[in-house]
Amino acid sequence: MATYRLKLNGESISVDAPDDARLLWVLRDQLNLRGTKFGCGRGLCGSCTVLVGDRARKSCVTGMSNVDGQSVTTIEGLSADGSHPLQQAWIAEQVPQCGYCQAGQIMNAAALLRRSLRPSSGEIDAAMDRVLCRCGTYLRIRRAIERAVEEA
Amino acid sequence: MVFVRHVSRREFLKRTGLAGGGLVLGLHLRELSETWEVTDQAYAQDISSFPPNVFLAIDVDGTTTIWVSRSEMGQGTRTGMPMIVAEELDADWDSIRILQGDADEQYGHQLTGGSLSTRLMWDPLRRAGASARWMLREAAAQSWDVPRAECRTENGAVLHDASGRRASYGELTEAAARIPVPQEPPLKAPDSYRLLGTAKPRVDVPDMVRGAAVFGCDTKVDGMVYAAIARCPHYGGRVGSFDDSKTRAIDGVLDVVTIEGTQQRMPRPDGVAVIAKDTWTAFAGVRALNVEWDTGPHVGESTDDLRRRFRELAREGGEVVRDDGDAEAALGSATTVVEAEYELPFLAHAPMEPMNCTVQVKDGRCEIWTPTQNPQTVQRAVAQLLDIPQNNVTVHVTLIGGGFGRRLYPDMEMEGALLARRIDVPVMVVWTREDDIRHDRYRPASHHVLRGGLDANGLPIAWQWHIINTHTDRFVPEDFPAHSIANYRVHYTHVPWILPRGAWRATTHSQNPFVIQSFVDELAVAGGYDPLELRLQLLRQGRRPDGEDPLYRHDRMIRVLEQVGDHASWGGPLPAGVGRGVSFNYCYESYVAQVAEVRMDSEVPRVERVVCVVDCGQITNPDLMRAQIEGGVAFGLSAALLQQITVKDARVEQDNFHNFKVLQASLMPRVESHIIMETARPGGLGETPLTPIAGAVANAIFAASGTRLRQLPLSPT
Repeated sequence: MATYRLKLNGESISVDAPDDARLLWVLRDQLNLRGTKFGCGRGLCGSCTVLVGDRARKSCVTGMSNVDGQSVTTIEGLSADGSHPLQQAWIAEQVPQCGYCQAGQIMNAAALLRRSLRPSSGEIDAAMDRVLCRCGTYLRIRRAIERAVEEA
Repeated sequence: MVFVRHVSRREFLKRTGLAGGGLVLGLHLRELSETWEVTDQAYAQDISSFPPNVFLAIDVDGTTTIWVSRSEMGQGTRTGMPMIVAEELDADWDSIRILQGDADEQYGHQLTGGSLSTRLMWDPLRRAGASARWMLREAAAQSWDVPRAECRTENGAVLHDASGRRASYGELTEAAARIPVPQEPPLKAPDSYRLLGTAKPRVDVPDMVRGAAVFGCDTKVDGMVYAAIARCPHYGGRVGSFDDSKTRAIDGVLDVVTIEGTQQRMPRPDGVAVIAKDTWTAFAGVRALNVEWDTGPHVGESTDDLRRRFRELAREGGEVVRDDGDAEAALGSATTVVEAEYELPFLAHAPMEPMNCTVQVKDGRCEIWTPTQNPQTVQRAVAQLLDIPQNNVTVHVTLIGGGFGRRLYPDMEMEGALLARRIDVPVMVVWTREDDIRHDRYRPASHHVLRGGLDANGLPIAWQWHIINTHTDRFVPEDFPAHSIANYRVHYTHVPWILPRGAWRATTHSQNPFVIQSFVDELAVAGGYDPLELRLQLLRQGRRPDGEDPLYRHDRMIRVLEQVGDHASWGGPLPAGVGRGVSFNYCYESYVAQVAEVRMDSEVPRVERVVCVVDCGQITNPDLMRAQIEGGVAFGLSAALLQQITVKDARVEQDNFHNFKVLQASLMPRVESHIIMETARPGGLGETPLTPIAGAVANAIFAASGTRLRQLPLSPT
């Protein structure tokens, strides 16, 4: 058991967790932030994607020691009220079907837009290949990212 | 027939927990089996003794509450169903509140599958809305002392244009509640629809993009604990012995218990469960277990052996399940005979939300929160397992993070109930992805042997087909090419096997159209015909006899196929290395045709474009429909190109997304959807669009490369 300090969605917090604990389950079970989803547990599907600093990280394989002292943003912290350009674009394009992977998709897209203001379609594909959608909403995800870029 | 009557306020409040005043309608309907009919004469005599089973309530503040009895798993049911009510009611869409119904037999059956929801609820929901609107108009007419015919409704209000008077539904609802319910409320003509046919945004999307939507695994109940289960990986195996000392030493592990499985009708594997204070600790506890599995009686079984058995059976006959004309004689006299064998593997569903449920058992009652497609089966199965009355089991249906048929089965809730009865707090059972892929109800594997005969002009005159399937009954006798080929004989052999099998999105229609649409292409090539032309010719010369399938309309099937050719510029130029393939299918009262364009200049076939034409009758919400078309293509492509489940030592070899792959963003083709507006009953669309895609892609691969691939997943190497 160890104590970890992080800046979570803009707030400084400290949390006790086992040495081998993964960020995903600390977020979901201990901190009650359930927007970040469990999909595979092995960093393969990306439903659990969050931002660590400005980068997309798969929280199911991210140890707590790797985020100690860092800034972590989850879907709940992307905006206070769903007003982030990506969230608005996701609504405008009616992206989700079942919706389960969409927090991971949005957070992954947010990381993409933080490193590239105008990503090419190849860059969008390469980045978004990291998050799987079983319902097949990929065409709308791409349109929503393009819309967010246009409207930013 | 659907019956509408008033509900007593007490009855309504009891069931809804609402505290409004005003018009409350309970709607009787009985949904029988998986047919489209919601008619039942006998039921009419029963009406007085039946409490209502669908609710529509208009509060004095104008809020209109609609109970949705079907599960939302991405198809848009929580938006589409209320749109039907709101249309006939002329409600203000923004005043609609949607609530999810718990398991309750009074809703009729609640199974969400078979693309049934819109089809079954179309008539009852329209009548519910129309009845309420009729009563509101009547109430306004009476209070203004004007003829009802002079009162019209619009956006949640009744208007009398001559006098300029207007009253909102909220103002009228108490008076309307005293008006007798009309037996045959007039329904709107489709051309006067204002809401149906429009792309209303889904009601649950704003929550989804904020991470606020509550799926099964997001359930929070006071005092809850978490469980993970080490399940026997060998089908038919048991827990031999286990050492849980390392598990029990983990801080936060509360208990370790064995769960006895069953191979009976609702199979569940044997396992060892770890109950812990949180999910991570439960997973860690399972990893620390040392279990010796008794590998059971089937440990010698593998899919390699099964495929050998398929090939042996292919040389024998099977039960004759369709026999038109004389296929044997026609093959004997044919100028050309074409022979081919096709094979489809087992498949897992792998929805993104792993299986889970939360269960509390206390004082002879059980309460369950679960992302299920089938709440009543959960209720019955758990009641039986716990030996308590069915009414003592409450099933709350959460949002579903993908179903595709997997969540029709109650194995996870039964596990939850077995654990919950040993402890006095609620327990959430969380499956890992490995659990999900190794313990599914798989799409059955199948093998197909085909012989086709052509006459001197190259036209098909005989089609003989032996279906060998690990599931019973995966054949629809009236499907194409029935009636299009005069001599048509189908044999069926069921091969029982160790893997549990189940409904996988579109069931039979996710399998057989690949075989049918590939083989008809082979016949076209052998006879020197263009694949689209031959299909159109076969359809034009064939016609289902009246009564065989009263819902099917031949001209609609032909029109869909003609239009897909036009939209795809069939026969037009293509870049080198790219081929076009066409395919079509009819199921769930909907007609679909697709043309796929596939590039073959790399190792993996690259599907670049899919043109899809759909006729599913009345359009309810075109954007929900386009989403199902895009999603169906993606789901079908994963199966066509990437997925298979194999078994060795009675154990599934795949376990996560690295070896059971899902189509990624960069492999998603452009999808061009064309929806034919046909003012008829709405057909189902949750499954139909995926059914032709594997055939279209296989045919395109042949067109591009000259290689005919007859085995899924389609792999050129």
